[in-house]
Amino acid sequence: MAARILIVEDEAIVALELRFVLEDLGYEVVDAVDEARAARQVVRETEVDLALVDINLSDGPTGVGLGRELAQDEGVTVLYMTANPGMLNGGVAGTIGVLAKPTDERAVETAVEYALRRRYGECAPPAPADLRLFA
Amino acid sequence: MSEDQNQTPNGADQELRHRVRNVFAVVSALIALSARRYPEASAFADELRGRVAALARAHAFIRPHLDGAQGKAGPSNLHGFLAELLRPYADEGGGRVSITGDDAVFDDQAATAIALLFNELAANAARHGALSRAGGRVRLSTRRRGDRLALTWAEHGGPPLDRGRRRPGFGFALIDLSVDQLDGTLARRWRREGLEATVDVPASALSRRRPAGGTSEDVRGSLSTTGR
Repeated sequence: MAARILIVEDEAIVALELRFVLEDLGYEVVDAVDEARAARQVVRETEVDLALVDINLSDGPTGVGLGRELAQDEGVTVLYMTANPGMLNGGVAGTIGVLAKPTDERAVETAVEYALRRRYGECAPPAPADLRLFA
Repeated sequence: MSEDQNQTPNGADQELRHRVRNVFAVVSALIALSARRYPEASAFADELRGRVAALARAHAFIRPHLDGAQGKAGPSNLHGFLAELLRPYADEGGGRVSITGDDAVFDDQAATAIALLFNELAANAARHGALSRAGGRVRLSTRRRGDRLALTWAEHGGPPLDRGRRRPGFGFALIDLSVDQLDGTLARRWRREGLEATVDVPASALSRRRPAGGTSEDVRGSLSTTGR
């Protein structure tokens, strides 16, 4: 079964492009939301394997806390995607890491594949160079 | 106020920087979405997105710094910036892309040219040169001589050069433009193991922003050596 991915991104154009890339790769995009509250609701109502989370959302810089919560409390694998990766310099426990935007299809493909392999405890390939891993 | 606090941007400044970075992401996504309907344009779109990403990295790297009341970006470390710029092409051990030699500082005015220049060299290496091969690598070395800095990009372990493919494309035009912007000179050598390009720039081109009344001493002082 295709992995189920949630996009949390407040720029509609960036979210749409990301959705197309993920769907081309065969993943199921369960939803694309622009704020933390809506993301929590999606996760409560449906199964999500991986969340791609931006930091600055339409309800403010709520992405950091949202990612931590989804990873630690909801069992969702979390990969941050942000134009401002410096805001995550300390890392966020329980989440995989951060991919800086702008990025490209290849980087999204390898980062998502890496994150999902980690989720399923498979032998993870070496992390892609663009992906900054958290300890 | 401590020096650290002095270098911390205020909330409005930080917010503006975040928004600008986001604009780069939107531009990149727009290019990709626009190209979707034109499959024949995908290589063009990929190249353009690579250039936009290089500009975004340049913008992101310039250290937030309040220069007195001006609020301008302060100088940044060249090796650190090049490492960040070339990160998508590097490997974990650092053997694939290495950066050695004399470090220097540069400012926001030089960042665009440096970013576009090395992005083109890396993208070209990834398409046709050493970085298109699993064992290929690039050694980027910087050397200070007096008030000039030479940056040498040397590819090793690439495919044999296709002499018929040397017709310069827009990528090389962009490299030439960037070198011109830095008041530098460029020497290219097509060796058997790959391209070697040396860019020689005056120190003053890396740090154009100086306080009014700055002297040539400021220019000389703008290059710092951190050892090899």
